[in-house]
Amino acid sequence: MATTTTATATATAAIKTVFSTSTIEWAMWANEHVLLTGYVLGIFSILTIIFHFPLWQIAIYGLLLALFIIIIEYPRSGRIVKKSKARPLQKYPSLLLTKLGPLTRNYFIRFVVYILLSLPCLFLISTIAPAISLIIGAGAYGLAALFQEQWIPVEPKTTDNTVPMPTRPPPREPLYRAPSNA
Amino acid sequence: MSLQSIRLWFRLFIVNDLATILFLFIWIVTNIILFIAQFFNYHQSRSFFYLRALISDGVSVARASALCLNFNCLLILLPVCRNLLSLIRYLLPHCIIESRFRRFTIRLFDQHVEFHRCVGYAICFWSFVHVSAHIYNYESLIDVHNEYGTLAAVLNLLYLKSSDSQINPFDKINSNTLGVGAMFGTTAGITGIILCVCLLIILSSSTMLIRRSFYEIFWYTHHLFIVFFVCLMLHGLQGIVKSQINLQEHNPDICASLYREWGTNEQCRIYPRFAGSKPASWIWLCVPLCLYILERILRFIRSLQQVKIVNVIRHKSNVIEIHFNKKSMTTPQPGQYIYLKCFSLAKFEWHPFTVTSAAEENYVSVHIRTIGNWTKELAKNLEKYPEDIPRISIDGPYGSPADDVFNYDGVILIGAGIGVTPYAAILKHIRSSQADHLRLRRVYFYWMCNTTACYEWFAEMLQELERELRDRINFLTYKIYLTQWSMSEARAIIENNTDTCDIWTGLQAKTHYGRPNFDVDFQSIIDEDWKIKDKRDIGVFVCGPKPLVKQLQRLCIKMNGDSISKNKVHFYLNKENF
Repeated sequence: MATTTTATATATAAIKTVFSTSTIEWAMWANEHVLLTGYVLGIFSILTIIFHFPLWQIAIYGLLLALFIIIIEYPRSGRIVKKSKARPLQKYPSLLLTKLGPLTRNYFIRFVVYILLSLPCLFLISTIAPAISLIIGAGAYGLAALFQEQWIPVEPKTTDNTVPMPTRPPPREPLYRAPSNA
Repeated sequence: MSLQSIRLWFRLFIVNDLATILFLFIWIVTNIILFIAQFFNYHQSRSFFYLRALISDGVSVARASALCLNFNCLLILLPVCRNLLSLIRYLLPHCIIESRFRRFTIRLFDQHVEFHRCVGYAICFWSFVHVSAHIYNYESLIDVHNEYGTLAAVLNLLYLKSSDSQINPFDKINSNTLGVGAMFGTTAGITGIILCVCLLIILSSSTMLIRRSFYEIFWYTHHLFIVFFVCLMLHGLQGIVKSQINLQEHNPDICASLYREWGTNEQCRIYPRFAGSKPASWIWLCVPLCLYILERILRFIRSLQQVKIVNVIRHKSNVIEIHFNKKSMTTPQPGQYIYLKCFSLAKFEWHPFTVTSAAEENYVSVHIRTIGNWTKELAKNLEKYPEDIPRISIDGPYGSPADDVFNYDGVILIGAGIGVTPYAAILKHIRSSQADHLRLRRVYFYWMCNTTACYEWFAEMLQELERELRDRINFLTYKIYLTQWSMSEARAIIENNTDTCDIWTGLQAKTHYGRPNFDVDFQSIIDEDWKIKDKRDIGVFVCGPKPLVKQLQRLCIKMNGDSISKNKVHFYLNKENF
């Protein structure tokens, strides 16, 4: 246990020397990257199924994996410093992800699961490039897990009802007086 | 929508965006023409007849999209060579005399990052087409080994008959070979996968979220383009796509149907011979790569120069002003910006700031608002001035100089918040060079701000200007607007109502409260008598949020349309995004 903590400490220190002036959340980039990989994997799997290349059955698995990735990755996580902008129609998959609790909150699980799930796609020419980029995205999630980041659901914007509407208009110059020069 | 508003929208579109739209249109049409021309070249070419017999039109689509990819990869490096663009901007007034055309083309150069992004999207699209076509080609070339007794089967085994008649690159295929394994045997396959993965990483880290909030990820992963370009030049090295070179001896039109009799029939005695095509990407990429390498070397040399900090002034509302000694760079014109790098904070980051000093002063000043991590750390490091200054490098100046102000009879400058920084330099420039440019008669300056604290650093300069221009009546009219206030501030305003000087800025002209009413102001400018007979050209310069720019666009076009016959006043809107 001591060796792993020193390993994580040195890795953290190494990354912090290069990216020293800001708080980087690796999970945000990992999320964008894996979502893009999901789209690309889906498109190439569909092409493979249409053209019936050899071993196209792997492409069916690739399509299902792409759908799984898109559903898991579509909700954007909330951020620590600022409020993150939710993607359109994010709240439906976000409900599912909050129900699953620690399975989706913890990024280390995503790291392991994505690497294992991407291995069958390495055997088809049309899906090998998305599979490699999925492994890289999983590596980014591993980095995020190293920094102990978590997935936080984004709350929808609530309109503030506590401040009453003003009853008088703000002061303005009257419209028909010509403005004076300096 | 009424007809009037449709016409208004259309004229807005033409006046402000026509140059950009035309340029983009020419670029898209070039892409489409290249694709179609190359596609039909391969589709009808006789030297690729036998290759098309194996993989049909997959080779045409792949080659055509490769040509478009070469073209776009040439274009993508050019808009990011800052020094090259500055050179062109400098030379442009000498080539184009008519100022309206010059204004159009200069605005094109200001949008070079957007063009870079468009070319990036085009590269992604053509890559998708190219990769799909080549996946189809690879799978077909492997699949074709299962055929027996057709032209394709004869072509597959032709390498056994004569040594340079191999057309199918996969010759040692049996039924157990995995497609991916065969692909890894080719240079194009390995470099292709590396190219795909690099492109995906670059694309995913260039989204707006990553650029705005985690700029370092964007900057460092974007440098994967080096790997991308190296792999692109190596991509065609093996010459897998083969064309026939002995068309006179072996005519495919006649001999293709006689494939069973090759070698025996006297028309087709000689076997077809094939040779791979040479890689061509490096020819397209040489020149832009050289220009870009020169650009980076120039930036690096500039960053090594010593820059002396002459003065550091801390204002309220988190603004610091730094004065530099300007002996190591060309004098920045008003409206230009420079890049700063601080070695002790981040070794590789350059941050842009607008120059606020005029060209005549003996120092270069920038006003920096400390809201981000880097600026806050910089402010903390500069607290101990004059001892212990961190080492700073300057790169610049870049951007379009705003010397367009002297081409108009009157100028309206509108700035919102920190967007007023370029106008600081412009106003100082106007003050010091008013004797040379007699055409400019009136300057109207609007500054909108939502807190009182940001008046401080600019107010001193405005007070100086007020004093100096007191004898030139009506030359400079400035109006300052405060758009938000608290109750205590409102009470102070009411108590102060009868004083001669304004309580926030100390100027003669009192601060107005709320937003400006541009319709009334523009109308009064038209009605004002300037004592000249010709048509007056008034330039409107805006630096602020998009709704403000849209409102002013509509107003300018409406005023131009209304008063075209009356006073002959013409408003020209310049959208500056400093």
